[in-house]
Amino acid sequence: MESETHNPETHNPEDRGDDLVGLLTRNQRKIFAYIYTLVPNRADAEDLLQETSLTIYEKFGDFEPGTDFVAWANRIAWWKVKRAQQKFARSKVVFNQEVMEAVAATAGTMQAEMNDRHKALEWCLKKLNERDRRMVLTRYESGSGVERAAAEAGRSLQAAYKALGRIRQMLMDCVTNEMQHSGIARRETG
Amino acid sequence: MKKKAKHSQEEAGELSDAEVLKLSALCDDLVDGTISPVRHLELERILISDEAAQRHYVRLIGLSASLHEYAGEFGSEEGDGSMASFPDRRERKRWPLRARLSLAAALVSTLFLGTLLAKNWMDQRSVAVGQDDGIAVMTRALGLEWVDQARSYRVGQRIPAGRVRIASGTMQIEFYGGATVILEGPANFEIRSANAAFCHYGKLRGNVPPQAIGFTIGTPEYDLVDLGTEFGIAVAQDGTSEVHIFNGKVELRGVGREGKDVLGLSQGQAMRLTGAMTGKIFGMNPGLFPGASLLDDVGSASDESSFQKWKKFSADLKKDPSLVAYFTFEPERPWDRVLRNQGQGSDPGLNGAIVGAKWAEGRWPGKGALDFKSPADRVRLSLTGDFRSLSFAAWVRIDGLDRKWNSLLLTDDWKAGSVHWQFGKSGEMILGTRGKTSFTNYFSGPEIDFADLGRWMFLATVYDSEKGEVRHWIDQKVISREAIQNPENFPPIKFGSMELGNYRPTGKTGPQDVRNFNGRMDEFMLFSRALTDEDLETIFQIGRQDGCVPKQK
Repeated sequence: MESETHNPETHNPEDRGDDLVGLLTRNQRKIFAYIYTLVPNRADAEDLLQETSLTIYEKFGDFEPGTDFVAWANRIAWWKVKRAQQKFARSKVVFNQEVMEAVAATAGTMQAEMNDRHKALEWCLKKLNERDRRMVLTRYESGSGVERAAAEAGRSLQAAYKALGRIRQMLMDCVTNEMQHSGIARRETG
Repeated sequence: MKKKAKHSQEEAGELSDAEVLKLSALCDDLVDGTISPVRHLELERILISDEAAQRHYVRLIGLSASLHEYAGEFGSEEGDGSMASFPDRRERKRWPLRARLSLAAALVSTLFLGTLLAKNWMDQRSVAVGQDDGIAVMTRALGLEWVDQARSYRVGQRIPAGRVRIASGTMQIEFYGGATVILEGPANFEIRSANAAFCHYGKLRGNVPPQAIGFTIGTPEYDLVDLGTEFGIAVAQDGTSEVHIFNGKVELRGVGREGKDVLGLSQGQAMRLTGAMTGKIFGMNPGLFPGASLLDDVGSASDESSFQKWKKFSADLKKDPSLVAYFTFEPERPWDRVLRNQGQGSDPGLNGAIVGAKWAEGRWPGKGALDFKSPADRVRLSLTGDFRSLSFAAWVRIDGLDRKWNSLLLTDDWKAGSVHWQFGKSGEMILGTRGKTSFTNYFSGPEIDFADLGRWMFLATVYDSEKGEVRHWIDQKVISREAIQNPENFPPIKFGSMELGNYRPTGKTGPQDVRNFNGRMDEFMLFSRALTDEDLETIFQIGRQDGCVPKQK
């Protein structure tokens, strides 16, 4: 079994080439997911990813090639999130510091699992029926939301919330199932 | 919730079914933005000390993070949900191969391109596409005729290292190093670096501020090195040349019988050379060389005449019965908040309500424009009726490709018959149309790039239901043609409420992505017919403001 402490990226020889753009391109999804876990709002999370990317660019000299890029980037992201919390706290509901730190620490240990889950989800989306798939993807499109998903599906808002909850549940179950079948589920859970 | 004993190593196995359900419901509300403060506190209490709950939370929220990506991979908000177009980057057809191969496109096809720092992206893109290698910029022009249209430049455009060949006319080139050259055709001039050029033949005036001392103009026989001054040099094709010093000093290096001497010339002096052989020093004559003030005078006269020409054209255009909406962006008063329709459409909703956007200068001095900057900026419009074919056209000065979607004209609705005219972050023009059961985006390749920022350009898109195709157009050429997909599925286009320069989806009240146009618009046309290439060429040629001689057919 692969060691849980190593991001597969770091075993990839091409990553040793100090190629910032390559590293960022391949990994920004993971960094985004980490930020989103702490700030579950797409626009806010994208802003934070942008700030994080800028700092990564500035501090790239500090990054040691061959070490875990995502872990390094996530530490930068964490500081950005922490600073932004104070700003967000004035306008919206945010986790308190203690919860944030606990969740961030846990999320930090789950990189490999989350990466596998992400891949499994692609397959699970393909297995959805077309109506559900259209609805959930409409909901998650940039600039869209539950209201648009409801309008497009010709459902009431309440019905759309319900349907989306059901679809997410199906996807969760499917992903979990995939993870267990492929024998990679327990990598991080021990 | 207190920490549970571990029952198994299965994920979420440490949580009871009830706890999993509770957490799922809370996370649903959290990601949908509907969570109440009380329930948010409840979620905090669950997460604070229970690591199994934290892990399950990360998986639940991570699912939404992944869904955002997969939804984005459709390549568009308006991708359709059918299995046939299920996200798979390799199957996206509308990108030209060139784009897919470039590093820029590798970044573009990554979901959150927008988040990749602009600077870095710009550098990479420019290297990849080979376009941000400008070392000088063309700032003014008068009556230019290019030797090779394929290697022509517009005012405001960056010029990379290489030949600038003009048959006639005058242009001003500002080198990044600080020197300014006014070049008069016919000329064969070569830009070599931010502080060096080569004159194969032609006549020019150079102005070199202290920052650019050392600016060098090579000629076939010798180099002229400027020591901070203003000078004129004329190189004839027969190998003779003349150098006149209006101010300061220059050195001619590589002159004399051996071609190794250095000769200084100072203010007021002039010399005629045959090859590298120096001649007598005589008095300089600035009148022989193109001057900045000359360019000023004729420049504004030319501006004035091209502005007048446009005004006349515009007055005729207003009579075109197919010109439904026409905005010339000329406020009656500086505080005007109404954008008056000059077109034939009688719909009162076509007199736009300006929100946020400020009046600014357009293509010519004295010509108005609206400047769209903040995410609030927009012009609200509405239009009734059904349209089978349409042409959108606008003169815009794009100041940034900073949004994933940059709005030009978008209907608030996104239902059967709706239409979205916009451009994407990587510079692709996009026309989105919505049908009864699906929708289609017509993309051009990534044609607008960083070299285009800050210059006035002409964008147009034709939805031609007769020919069954969609054409995107920039300046004087078609950049893409694509057959209309499943025409039977697409009812006539209906606008209803819509916005110029921004997008506000119907019924959406909460926060939404920033999608405003960043730049200026000084002319907008909406025709109820498919314009031909000739129509568009004419509009472009009349509307271009740089005094260029129109391209010869």
